Amino acid sequence: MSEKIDSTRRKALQITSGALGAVTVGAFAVPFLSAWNPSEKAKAMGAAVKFNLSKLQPGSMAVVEWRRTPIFVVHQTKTAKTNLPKLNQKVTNPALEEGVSRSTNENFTILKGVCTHLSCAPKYYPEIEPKAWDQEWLGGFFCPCHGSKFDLAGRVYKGVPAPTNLEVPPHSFEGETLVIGEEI
Amino acid sequence: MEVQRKGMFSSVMSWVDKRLPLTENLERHLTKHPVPKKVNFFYIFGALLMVIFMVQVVTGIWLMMFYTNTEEGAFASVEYIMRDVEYGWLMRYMHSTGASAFFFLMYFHMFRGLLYGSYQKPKELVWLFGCFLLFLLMAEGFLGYVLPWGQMSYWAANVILSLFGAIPFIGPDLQVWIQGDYVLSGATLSRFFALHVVVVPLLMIALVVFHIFALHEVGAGNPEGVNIEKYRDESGMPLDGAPFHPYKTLSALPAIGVFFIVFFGIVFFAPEGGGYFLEKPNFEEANFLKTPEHIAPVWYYAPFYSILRAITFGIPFLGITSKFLGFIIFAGSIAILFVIPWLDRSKVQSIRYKGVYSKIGMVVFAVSFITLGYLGTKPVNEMRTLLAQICTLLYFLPLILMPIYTKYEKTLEVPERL
Amino acid sequence: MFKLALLFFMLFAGETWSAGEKECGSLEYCDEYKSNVHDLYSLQRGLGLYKNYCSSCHTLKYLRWNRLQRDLDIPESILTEDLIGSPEVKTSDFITFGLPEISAIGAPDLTLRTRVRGEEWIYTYLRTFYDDIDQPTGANNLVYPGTAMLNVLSGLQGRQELTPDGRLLKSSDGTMTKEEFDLAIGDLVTFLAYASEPARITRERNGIFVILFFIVFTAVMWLLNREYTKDIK
Repeated sequence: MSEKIDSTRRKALQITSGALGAVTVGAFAVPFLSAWNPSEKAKAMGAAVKFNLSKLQPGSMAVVEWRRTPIFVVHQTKTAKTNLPKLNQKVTNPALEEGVSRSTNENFTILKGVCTHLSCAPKYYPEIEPKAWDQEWLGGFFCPCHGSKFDLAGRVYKGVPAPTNLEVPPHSFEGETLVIGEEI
Repeated sequence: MEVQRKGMFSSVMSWVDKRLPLTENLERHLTKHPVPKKVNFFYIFGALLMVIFMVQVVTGIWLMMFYTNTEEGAFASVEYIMRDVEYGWLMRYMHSTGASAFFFLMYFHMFRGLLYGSYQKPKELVWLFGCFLLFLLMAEGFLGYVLPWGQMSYWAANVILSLFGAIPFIGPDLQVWIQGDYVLSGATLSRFFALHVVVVPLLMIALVVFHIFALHEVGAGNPEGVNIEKYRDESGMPLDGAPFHPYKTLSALPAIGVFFIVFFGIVFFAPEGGGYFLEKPNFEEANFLKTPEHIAPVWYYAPFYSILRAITFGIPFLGITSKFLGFIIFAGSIAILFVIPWLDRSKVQSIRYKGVYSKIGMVVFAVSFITLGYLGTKPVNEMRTLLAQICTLLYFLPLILMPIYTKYEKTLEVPERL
Repeated sequence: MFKLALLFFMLFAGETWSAGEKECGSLEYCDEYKSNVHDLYSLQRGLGLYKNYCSSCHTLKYLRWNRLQRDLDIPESILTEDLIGSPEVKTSDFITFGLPEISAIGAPDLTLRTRVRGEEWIYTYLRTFYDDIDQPTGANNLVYPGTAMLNVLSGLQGRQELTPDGRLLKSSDGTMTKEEFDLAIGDLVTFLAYASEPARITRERNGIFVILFFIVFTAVMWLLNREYTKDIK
């Protein structure tokens, strides 16, 4: 052992190089972790989709694909719009603050076509007539898998397996055009 | 507090040690493993090889996440990595530059072995495992080079695979079997992918472990060829030795820093390496109807490719074609490296104490290897073929004559201590 | 031994003399050109030329419109109206201009062309077209004789003729002077170099920090190692 050893200097060098080592490892990690983010290809596929509303008649529904999910676009009739508030007592969460149709345009309702129970696809039954699952049916969605019921605005009825309303995807209206999704 | 933590740590360690000889092995391979105090520049390449191996494994795993191993998708998926994946270009350039760096370090590491007799008794196995590693690295590089499915990938693979076809009797069938098709195709690509990412790397890891275990059994060498085990202090540590950790590990760090400066200098500012690391025709998708004007191997295969090309003659009366003889000599140029421990009969290890013939032999070998490398990247002409033939001869001659000149030449006295 | 070494060096010397290979297609040397992908205006001018003179036959099938927009700082309205000009094309689509992958006339995709040929090859090639009535296209090229490409740039460059001693002579004026045309082709090659590797902008810009970091790393580790080596001196 030499006598020239300066323990303060050694300690300082140890700390500095330890810190540098940590920075090196951290810096190396950045590109490897970032590479797992959605790629440009994924972003291109997940970008917003446009839908022309002009040909969608009142009372009918279109299914648009966005990020591998069916998106239900419902053109509400006048009757539907008057009927929806009547169901406030029957649904779990009336969600009135979102407006009757749960969108910024009262004439249209945009929903993810995925049942909030176990991810089946609910079916669209717009008719106002007694159904096997509901004698006072005012139109809405019925899930054939486990019998969950939703009204025309996608609000879930009380006493069914599905816990929450059908989700509303991010969307906006540009005149006649519906934009589903948002800027990435 | 400090005492208590130490107590807890040591009790955990003793719990582990009863079930797994952890402390014993850490001491054996790291904290008490003696390495020579004084070595030179040539002794850093082993550590750098470990670093580059890790770089290749990690970047390789990441590339594999985005690469498509089909004939239709391979080329586009590389561009996908280069453009659409965040930092994909960095992964790819690190991997491609890493391949060149791997060979560069490997050649220097082996040259060190030749200079200082790192293969002599009792280190024959260390050298053998190392030679197997070179062979596997060459296979790994070749398999990996096919994956981007560019023009050079396709046509270089065609050249190498047709060599197997030159083997008498079984050749053509063997070639078809390796290709999995009557031509080089997507079937070949898929199996090369599996070999490149799983089989060969696993074998390499195993061999690296053997290489290091064997080395730690016989002890690291030094440029003097002195046996440091002779003189020890009271604790049993050789007087000319120091524990591997921290002294050897710390001395590797600045070298790793310098290596990364060069490595990232290439990755960020010259990833194509002037067309030697990433060849121009490989930016064009494989086209089986159009051969590139000039098929050149990547620089690290160039010396061996040159040897292959230099054999323009066969042995007609034995039924050996020039193509097959080329293959034999080409394989022989790698195979002869394996037997060097038994070719060298010198009493001393290091070139410093060997005789003049060993020194001349080393220079001739090195110069012919480099010349062959240069020639391998150039198109052939008559002059170059002749030069390559001479260099091939000069590559083999120092090795083949080694048993004679090392036995009879006059050597110098090796000192007792470093 | 000495004779052998002498022979060896003579051969090697012969080798360096014999380096008469053509490095630029059929030409011995390419004209020098080095692209600077950090020059935004050059890239934008190159894109303009590309759009006007190349895009009716050639695609850029690995480059996305929105990547181009981001890297070349192109306003949204110019991108969608002037460059894309079709409501069917999304900004995340590849730049194919509605052309099939390999267009009917066999014009190659240009995304990676500068990496296949080299920038200087393209730079020289685009400036060495000359009139040749023996060719079906009416034009020939010094770098790539018998090229199938039309001399689409003759309006800018003017027409050229091949003299018997192999030089090009201007036979009519174009809208650009020689200097302007060389600069324009430089811009176009810069744009193509960018298209061949968009990551080059980030790569060349940030590489220096990585290098500087490792210089500091090396210095500190060197000091640390020197400190510890005192123990075993």
